[in-house]
Amino acid sequence: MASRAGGLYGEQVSSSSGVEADVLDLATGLRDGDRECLAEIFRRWSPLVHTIALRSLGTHHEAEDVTQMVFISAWRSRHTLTPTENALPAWLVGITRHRISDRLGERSREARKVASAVAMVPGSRSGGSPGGASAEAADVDAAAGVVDRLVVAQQLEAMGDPRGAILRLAFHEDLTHEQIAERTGLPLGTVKSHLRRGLAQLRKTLEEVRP
Amino acid sequence: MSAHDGPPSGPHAAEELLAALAMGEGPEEVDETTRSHVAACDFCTSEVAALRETLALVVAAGAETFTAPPASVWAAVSAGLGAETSEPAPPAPRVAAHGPSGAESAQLTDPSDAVVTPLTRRRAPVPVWLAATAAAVALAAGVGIGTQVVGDPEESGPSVQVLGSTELASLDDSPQARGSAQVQRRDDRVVLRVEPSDLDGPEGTREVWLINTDGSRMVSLGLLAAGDAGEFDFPERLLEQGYRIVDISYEPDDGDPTHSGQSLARGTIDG
Repeated sequence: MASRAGGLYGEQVSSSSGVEADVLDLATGLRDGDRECLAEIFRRWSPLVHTIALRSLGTHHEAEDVTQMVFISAWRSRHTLTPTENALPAWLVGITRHRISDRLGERSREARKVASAVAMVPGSRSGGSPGGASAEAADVDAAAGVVDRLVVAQQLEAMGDPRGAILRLAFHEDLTHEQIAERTGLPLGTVKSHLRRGLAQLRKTLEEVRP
Repeated sequence: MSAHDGPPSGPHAAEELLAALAMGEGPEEVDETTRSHVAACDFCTSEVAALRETLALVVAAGAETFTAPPASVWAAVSAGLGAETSEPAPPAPRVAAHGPSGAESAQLTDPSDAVVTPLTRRRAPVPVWLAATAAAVALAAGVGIGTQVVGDPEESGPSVQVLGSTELASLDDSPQARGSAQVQRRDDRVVLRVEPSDLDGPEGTREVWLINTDGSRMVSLGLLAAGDAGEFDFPERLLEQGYRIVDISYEPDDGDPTHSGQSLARGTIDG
């Protein structure tokens, strides 16, 4: 990324990053029952879904189960998707949140069941607090910030160049606008414009994703 | 983030200028007229705040890495949808890599989580906690029903080492003796031998469980023929992980794979 030669990119700053139309097509295709679209959606978003599940649940096999269920649900409830430029990731993340919260609920029910079973043991040292419901509630809270960050990271990664590259250079590698202009061979004004529009674009995605 | 405040007087600042303000750009980028409007306008002020928050997330996102699911997940999705439509070519899940550390983005956060068990090897309706560890998954998949052995295990091989044992008792106020359980190493395998007595309880299925002493995890070892001794493969690491409480439950034929909550006998393995 950092070694890109200047002059690679055109100078026009389109209002969208170029991936949106694509995402809109995928969303429309999914809603219309195109299985290829589901496959492509899986290819693009399963790392996001899986990583959110992994952070929230902590174990690989549960994260995999949730990921699997999310995409099966996505297919089965595809009629509920209203295809717009930003809808698809938000919709997938919404399904992911539901599946995770089902899983956490199941977990605390089981923990309570085990806890009450264990509590019946005379002199059992573990009759006390098995960290059931309250610990799960904390998990859910912690997961909220993680989801935002992961959604932004994924969106940034999926963002077409040069905008994505410019944002990464500015915010992850701390290059000045001038350095970025030099690095990419784009005029300074173009760099600034990409940064501003990119930020606004990410913010819109984030708004949609929030429950 | 209230973007719903009523329309203020005058036109709102352009989105790009709000973003410029959020990024802390100076007067040469955002003029004084715009600045004073934003300062007086709740809507524009909250927009800038929201963009600042997004900016903070963008910066933080640089440290994020993604873990793509293994290929078995897509296979399971595909299989799950089965005949619903035709089969597409399986996609290779792409690991979303970004930033300077992108090459390492598939790395696992915890080496102990590194065991990825293909979905197809799992027993389908397991309770969550039952599969709470990779060990538990292996156990659930490997020993759905324990091996029932009739006869004295002492005769079955020359090398039997007792790793731990417990008396079993009922859980009521005046505990009744209900037999015993022993963890034995025989050559290269470790088994839990359960020898219950006078279990009482309703007619029906008896299931043997291991409860972790942390009180929040348990695994099913399998079904016990009523009143008979049973032997169950017992991965030794479970003992090290604290799965020391042996529990025998009555399970009604209700299709619910979780513990019924009706324990007939219990004991904690010593050693």
